[in-house]
Amino acid sequence: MTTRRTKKLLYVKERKAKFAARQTTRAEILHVEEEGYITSDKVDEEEQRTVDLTQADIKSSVDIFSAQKRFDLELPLYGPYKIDYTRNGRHLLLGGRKGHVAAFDWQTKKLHCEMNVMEQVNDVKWLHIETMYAVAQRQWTYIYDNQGVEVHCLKVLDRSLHLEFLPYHFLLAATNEAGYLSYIDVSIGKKVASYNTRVANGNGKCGTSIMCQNPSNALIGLGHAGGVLTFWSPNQREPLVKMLAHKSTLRSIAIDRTGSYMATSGVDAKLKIWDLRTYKCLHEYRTASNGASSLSFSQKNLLAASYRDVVEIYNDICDNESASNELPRYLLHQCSNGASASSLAFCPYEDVLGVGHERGFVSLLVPGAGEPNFDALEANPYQTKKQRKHAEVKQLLDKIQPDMITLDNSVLSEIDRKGFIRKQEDKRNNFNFVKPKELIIQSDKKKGKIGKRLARKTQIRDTKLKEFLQQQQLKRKKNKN
Amino acid sequence: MENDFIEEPVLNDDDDDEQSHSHSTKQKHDKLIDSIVHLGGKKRKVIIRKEPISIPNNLVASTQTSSASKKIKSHQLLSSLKKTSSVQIQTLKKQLAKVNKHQAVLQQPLQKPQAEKAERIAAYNQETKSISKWDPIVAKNRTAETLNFPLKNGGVQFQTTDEFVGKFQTLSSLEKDIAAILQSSSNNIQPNSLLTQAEKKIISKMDLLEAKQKLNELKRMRALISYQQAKFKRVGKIKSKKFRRLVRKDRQKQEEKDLKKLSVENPDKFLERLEHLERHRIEERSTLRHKNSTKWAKEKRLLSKFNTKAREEIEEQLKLGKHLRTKQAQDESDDDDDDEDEDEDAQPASKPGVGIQKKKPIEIPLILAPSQIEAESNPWLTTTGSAVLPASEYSKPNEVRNEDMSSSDSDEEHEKENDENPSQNEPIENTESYGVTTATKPVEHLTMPDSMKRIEIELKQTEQHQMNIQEAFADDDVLAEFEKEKSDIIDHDRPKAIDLSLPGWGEWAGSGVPVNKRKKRKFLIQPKPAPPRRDIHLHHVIINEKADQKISEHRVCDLPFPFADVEQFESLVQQPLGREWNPETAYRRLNQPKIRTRIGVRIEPLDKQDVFFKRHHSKRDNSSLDFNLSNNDEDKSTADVEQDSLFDNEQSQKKKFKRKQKTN
Repeated sequence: MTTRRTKKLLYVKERKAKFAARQTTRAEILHVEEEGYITSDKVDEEEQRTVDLTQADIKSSVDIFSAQKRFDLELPLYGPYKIDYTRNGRHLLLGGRKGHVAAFDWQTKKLHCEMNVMEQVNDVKWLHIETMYAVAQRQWTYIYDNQGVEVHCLKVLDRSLHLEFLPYHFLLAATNEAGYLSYIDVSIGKKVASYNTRVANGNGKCGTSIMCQNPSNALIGLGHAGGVLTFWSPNQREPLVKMLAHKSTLRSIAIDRTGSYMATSGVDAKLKIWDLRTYKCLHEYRTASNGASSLSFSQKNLLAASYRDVVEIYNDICDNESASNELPRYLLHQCSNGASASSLAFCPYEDVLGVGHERGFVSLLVPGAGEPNFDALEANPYQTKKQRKHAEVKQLLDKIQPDMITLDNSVLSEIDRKGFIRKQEDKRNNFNFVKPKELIIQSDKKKGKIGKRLARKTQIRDTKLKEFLQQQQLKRKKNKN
Repeated sequence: MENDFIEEPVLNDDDDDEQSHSHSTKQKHDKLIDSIVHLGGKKRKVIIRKEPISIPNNLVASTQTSSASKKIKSHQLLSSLKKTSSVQIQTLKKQLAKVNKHQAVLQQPLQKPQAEKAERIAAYNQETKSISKWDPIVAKNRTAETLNFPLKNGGVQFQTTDEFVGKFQTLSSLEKDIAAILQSSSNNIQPNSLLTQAEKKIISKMDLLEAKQKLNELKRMRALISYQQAKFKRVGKIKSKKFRRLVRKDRQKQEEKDLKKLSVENPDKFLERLEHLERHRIEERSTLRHKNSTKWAKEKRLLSKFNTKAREEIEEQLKLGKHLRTKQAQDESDDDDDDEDEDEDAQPASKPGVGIQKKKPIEIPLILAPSQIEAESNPWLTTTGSAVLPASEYSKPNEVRNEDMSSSDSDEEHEKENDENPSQNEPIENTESYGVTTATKPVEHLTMPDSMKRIEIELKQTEQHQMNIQEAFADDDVLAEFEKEKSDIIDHDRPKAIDLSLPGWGEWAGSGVPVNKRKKRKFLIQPKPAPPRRDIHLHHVIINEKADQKISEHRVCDLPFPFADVEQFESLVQQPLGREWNPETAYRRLNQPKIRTRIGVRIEPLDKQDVFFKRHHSKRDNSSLDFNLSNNDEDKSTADVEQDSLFDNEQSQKKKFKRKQKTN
């Protein structure tokens, strides 16, 4: 029974929710910036393809400010380079395999620090702000500040191969040579969890360096030998999801910003696009031999893939509707001197792709890659020092506990049905005089096959009816006029 | 009504009649029974009971008549006499009616407890009725989104400009006189006219072209003045200390320049200025208007224990300081930060000896500032002709401050240092920095450690090796292996049956003796089948079905109170409330407080008069009906009780209105 008062409460809340939704849609007017793009002209009745455009072409046709963003760094001695952009896309971190580490503001080309750590560098990663970054070195993982001063030596993360940072949870995740996945809470400096990720399947006893994070639910994806892909949370000893993505060893994984699409490449020279909501393969493309060595999604869902010294960029790869199994190539770039690319990263909020390769770093212009409208409360490219300080405090206050990481985020806003039934049964057993509540679910969310189909049908029918009615209305208006 | 129940006095004479009457009826009754009995056809012997006492006596008759059922009313008796219309009977009837009328007897008063109870009930009913008026108001307040206390809101009244201006009155006669003089001046701008009278006069004497020019010029000047005024106002409002400091510095520089110029152009004036400065300095030295916190004061305080003179000095200084402060009050906002500087700098001046003197800008009105502020120039030094010196002297504290600042925000400074000599931080002597877009210069003197080279070679080899192996083993029945693993996991996760059978219980047991099948079946408890797995249709995916313990601690596993079903609660919880997901307006609305109060305003209990009066008013406004209540309003608005009646009245009016609407 719902009392009148509760009804009122619900009504008010519902109205507020509607208001909020309306306001949110209205606020989209404020997104005034539009993303960049390249249109293909027709020259002599022949359509020009965007793939034929070189970086020089693009650079010559954009404004000076954008043209500055296209540059090469020749660093032939300490490659191959791993790269990482900060979350606001303002700063860049380079980590050469042979110990060279450099951090700088890549837009103004102002160097923060540069050093050689005299050790093999496996990976570099920015932490929550641009004044701190982690470097996975041969023995331990270190944290340096932007002056290049060693702040911490994390002996918990030894012989790390790859680093991932979960910004909302302040977790630094690392895989190591022994096959362990370890999480460190950077805000309190404690080890949260460490699990053995060795997969019985396949021949690799050693750990994997194929790693990515799912930005929507903060799971860590690992690629293993034998084409197996696993998703991990710090709360469970076993992988939450384990899937056979390829029939041979995986080479790279990338997950898009919304966490609904995943791209994988394997040694079997295939590039697969997966829907992470259903775990089904959407597209399967044949690529150059050995597959893409690294993949990266941009904010606007462009996918960059590197094949030795060639970097390819695809557009509309996730929702490709054409039946042909050809890769929807958008742009191409070949690194000079045949230096094979080792690390790819799209710069957030910029139409720029950073490529770390054997002989340095290349910054490429990719129109339409970045999100044009940034949310300054989320990540502000034009952040001042004061804003950064405030943002750090706010970030820390809003820190999400590692316990909250799950496969399905919506679980938190739902009643635990099993727990509910268990609790009521306990009540019934322990207190005879208490009348247990019943679990009343008005409409069960999980419909059967037929129910689903019916729902879909009605939905389609309704939309068509709506369209029809709108047309009728238009006609009537015209007639009146 | 009670009259009807009044008994007739029983007369003895009637007894016989009565008896005979009852006898006859009995006979009739017997007959009737007989006939009924014979109706069925079957003869039935009716046994008549014979009572020992059958003779009715007077006593019995009287009791019979007294019983309520056999009461005979006077009008019954009279009705039988209807046919006879004699005068006597008519009069008798009248008399009887009269008697009946006058025989109204007072009821017996109720017992005390009953009476009190009745009273209580009545009072209760009345009270509930009066209180129930509050029900809608209370309900409304309880379910309201927000309550703004105080509820009785006087309403915002906006003053018109005329009202606001009307408040101002000239105070004294002197002011009045001044106002009068000012009013009479021809240079005032009258309302609704562009020009003052003086200007009009001038223009009227000019010819058209000239007048136009003049008019334009005037307009321009007026506009410029207003712009300048606005600018001054804006600048004056700036509270930034930094800005003030900059302004001050500018002024000082200007001063120095002016002084230099003066020394060349107009030596007399220059000397005059110097004198002026000197006088100021002397003045300041003579008056020690400073706070207690300065270095000098501290020293003095130490001495004051033993030295009465010093004590007096301090006191005097404090007094002066206080006095000064009261004067300063207006300038405080701008020149707060100056005070300390001044105190420190002026300190040595109070002692004998040479110090660099700073002027107090507080003393100088702003308008005169450029000409008067001789900033920090020491007249003794300037007279010697080294006009540059004071500036150099002054650059010192600035430098110090700069250093301080740099230490406070290390980031920038460090960055600067880095830029200047990046090699400081580097373990290797790498002089190359990537500041330039295309750094193509090869680094010659860099030698790569041998170990590095080895690592590289090893890495390349191992990578290649691994790749080869993997390619060789590709497609090596990976799928089958994976499926086997999945089926293993499914088997492992499946709930298992519990076997409670005890071997050897009720039968023989041992090796080679088979267990009874019936017994096995009986003691094997089958578990509930597990819900279908999420990966049931995905052959290439294994989804972990184990419950996550850590998240389950954070989940809600009970339906909170006001909600009746799960969906209601979930729909409420799923609405995000934070700033990150909502625009500002929606955020405010979603997180509106239930109660809002104003600081320092008492929260009064609900006022009857206020509430009902307001409701009444608002309703009347809404319905836009002429209730003819305006007179009533004035009469009745004083007393509460009357208010209530008004409220009732208004309700009834409303009902009437509704009825009207219906009929329409």
